[in-house]
Amino acid sequence: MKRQKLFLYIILSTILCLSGCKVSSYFPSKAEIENLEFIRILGIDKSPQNPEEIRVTMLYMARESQPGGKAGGNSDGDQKGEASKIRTVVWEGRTVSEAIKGAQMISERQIFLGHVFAVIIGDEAAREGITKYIDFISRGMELRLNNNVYIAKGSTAEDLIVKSSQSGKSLPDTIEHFQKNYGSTSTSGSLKLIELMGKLDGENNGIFIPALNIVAQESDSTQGGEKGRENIAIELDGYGIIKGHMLIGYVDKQLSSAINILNNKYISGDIVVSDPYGYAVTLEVIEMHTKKEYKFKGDDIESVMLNIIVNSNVGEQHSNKNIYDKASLEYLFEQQADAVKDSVYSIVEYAQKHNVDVLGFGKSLFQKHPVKWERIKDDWDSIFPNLKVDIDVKSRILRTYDITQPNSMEDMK
Amino acid sequence: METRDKITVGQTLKLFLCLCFSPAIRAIPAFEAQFAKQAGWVAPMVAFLPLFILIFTFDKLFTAYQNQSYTDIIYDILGKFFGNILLFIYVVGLSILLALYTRYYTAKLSIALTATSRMELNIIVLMIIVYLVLRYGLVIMARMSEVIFVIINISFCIIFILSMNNIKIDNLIPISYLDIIPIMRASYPITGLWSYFTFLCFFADRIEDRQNLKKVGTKYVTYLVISTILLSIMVIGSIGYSVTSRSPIPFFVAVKNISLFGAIERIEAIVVTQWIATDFILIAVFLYVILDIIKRIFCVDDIRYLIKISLVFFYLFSFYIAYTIFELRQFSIEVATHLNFILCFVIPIVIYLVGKIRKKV
Repeated sequence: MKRQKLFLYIILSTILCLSGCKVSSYFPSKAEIENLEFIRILGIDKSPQNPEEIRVTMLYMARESQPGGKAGGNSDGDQKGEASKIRTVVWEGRTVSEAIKGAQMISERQIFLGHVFAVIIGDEAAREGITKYIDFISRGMELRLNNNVYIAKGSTAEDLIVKSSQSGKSLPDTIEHFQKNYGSTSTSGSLKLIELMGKLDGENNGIFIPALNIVAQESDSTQGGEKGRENIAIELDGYGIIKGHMLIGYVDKQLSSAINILNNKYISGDIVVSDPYGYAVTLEVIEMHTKKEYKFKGDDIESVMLNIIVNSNVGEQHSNKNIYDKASLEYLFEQQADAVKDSVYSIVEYAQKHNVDVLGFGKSLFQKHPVKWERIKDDWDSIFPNLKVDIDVKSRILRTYDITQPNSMEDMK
Repeated sequence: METRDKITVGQTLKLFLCLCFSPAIRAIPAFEAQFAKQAGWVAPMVAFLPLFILIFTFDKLFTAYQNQSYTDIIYDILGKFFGNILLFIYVVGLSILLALYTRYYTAKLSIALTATSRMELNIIVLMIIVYLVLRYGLVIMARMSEVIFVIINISFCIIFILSMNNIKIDNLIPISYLDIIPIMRASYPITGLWSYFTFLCFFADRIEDRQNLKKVGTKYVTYLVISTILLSIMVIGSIGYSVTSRSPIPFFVAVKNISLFGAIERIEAIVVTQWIATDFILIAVFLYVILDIIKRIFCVDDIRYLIKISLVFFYLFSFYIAYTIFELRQFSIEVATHLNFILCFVIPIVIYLVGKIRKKV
């Protein structure tokens, strides 16, 4: 027993003495929770002053005990953000990592990225190419790969984060809401970093990243006695389209919805059509499914047939007519199918014009016809823009809700 | 290490499954994704066959050589001189692997937990535990492996169930005849890892009911194949083959992404526990085998006094084998993969064939 203890002491003392380092260097670095600043949203931009540098904006929820509850600071030492609890830190560096480390030096507490929930990439940075801007966050040192990624539509991430903070709204809450409920309109989506990393590795993928937009709202809120105060809101506004790792533009809500239809990411949404009497009817989509069928001639692809199934419920009707007879319903089926076809043809046209496969054709070809895909994948860039696309929509209206005929229907009077 | 220590075939196979676990979660999904991309998860089915061949080979050898170890079989088939040379090669090969896994153990901890802290203390703690267990011999080690086997399997099942939400079928298809060659290439390193079964045969004379090897072995090997397929489906299915092939520890990345209703997340500590437990078993078993072979080469009765000095040696050796994770990964791909395959799969088959030619089997 004595010998064993001696052996143990010799090893431990040798290792600790000969290493020339502090004992603390053998243990993980620790930080008390009250000394950490939990960053919730990270914004990454190209520096406006120095194009070689990267500007990082970090939003965190300050503790009430902090004096003033005002903003942190930016590279110039300015105060940013006015909300009582939401604060931002802005800093620049040659890399994202350097900017974050730099921000540590102006922060009151240790910046901790383990709780980052969303990453917003500025428009200009995304246009330059997103790979270098997301490399740091992809390495997962503190950050997680299931963060949500967004693009700041037509603005910098800093602008979006700071203006949102100044409006007094909680951007983390807003983004969390978007992430959970984008399916209520299906006019945009949600993208995890890990999904984006996989897509960036794909050879022929067109990538679409949800876009956030700053919108000015006229509010008649009487809060604080103010009326007609301009109110900033953050809107989930379609997709930013990435080709060759670079942002090439944005698609509006209708086209984004069509992207979701073709990629089977459409969850729910409204289609507003006209009834046989010319009044609006809202059809609430409860099922939208697309099946892609490819026609080949030998090894060459001839066309794609898109078989779309759309099922909806009547959610609202503006006329006071009975539109639930066979003829009227068939008319509505047709209207619904035409609305879907129009959207889908529009996005097909956009994608072929820009030669960016956001329609998921390449991916589904690879999955359904891997052998044929192997032969055509190298020429896909020249095949895709000229590919013939046919659409067949099977449209149905399944039911309505608590009442069928509208209030004060003509025939009932 | 008392020669009268006896364990059962079941305990031996549990030891085998435990020591397979650590390299499996580190390397198998990465190799599969690198060679066979989305079809990589099929590779364990192909690696199933060589493992069966290996088990059947040892079953035949053990039938011919009752109550003798693989060392005795080597001596009988190859003779004392060539037998010693081969055993020396095994000692060198095992030493390289032991140093490599010791280094991997601490590299994994650095990546997962303590990115900036030094690694020496982690190795020392592990070495001390290995020393304490090895002093009491094979039986204690086997009993510990039984406990660890249950813990790692329950935790793996929990992790798999929690990650099911992240698994995307699109990441696992298509599979076509174009994938046959890539799948076979991906199965090569898996075969090498699974062939570690050979190392356990060095103490086959201490296995009580080894006549049941074929029957019990088939059961455990089937379990190993199924669990490896599930592991591959979980990793490639949830993070995709491209990220899997680029990650040094893809299993850890897949576990980090688990989030159930936003309530159950950040459960990667379970993985770290699995690593430490299984790395401990692997290092303990490898060292036990090395010492056992040395005992036979030098015809000594007791070599317990060598445990301490060998642990110090492997502590130092682990630093020399590779300093950075890049060197470690490169060494694994360029050297260790082939070393595993040759030492653990090719040589036993050759021994069997030589035995057959010399009419000893």
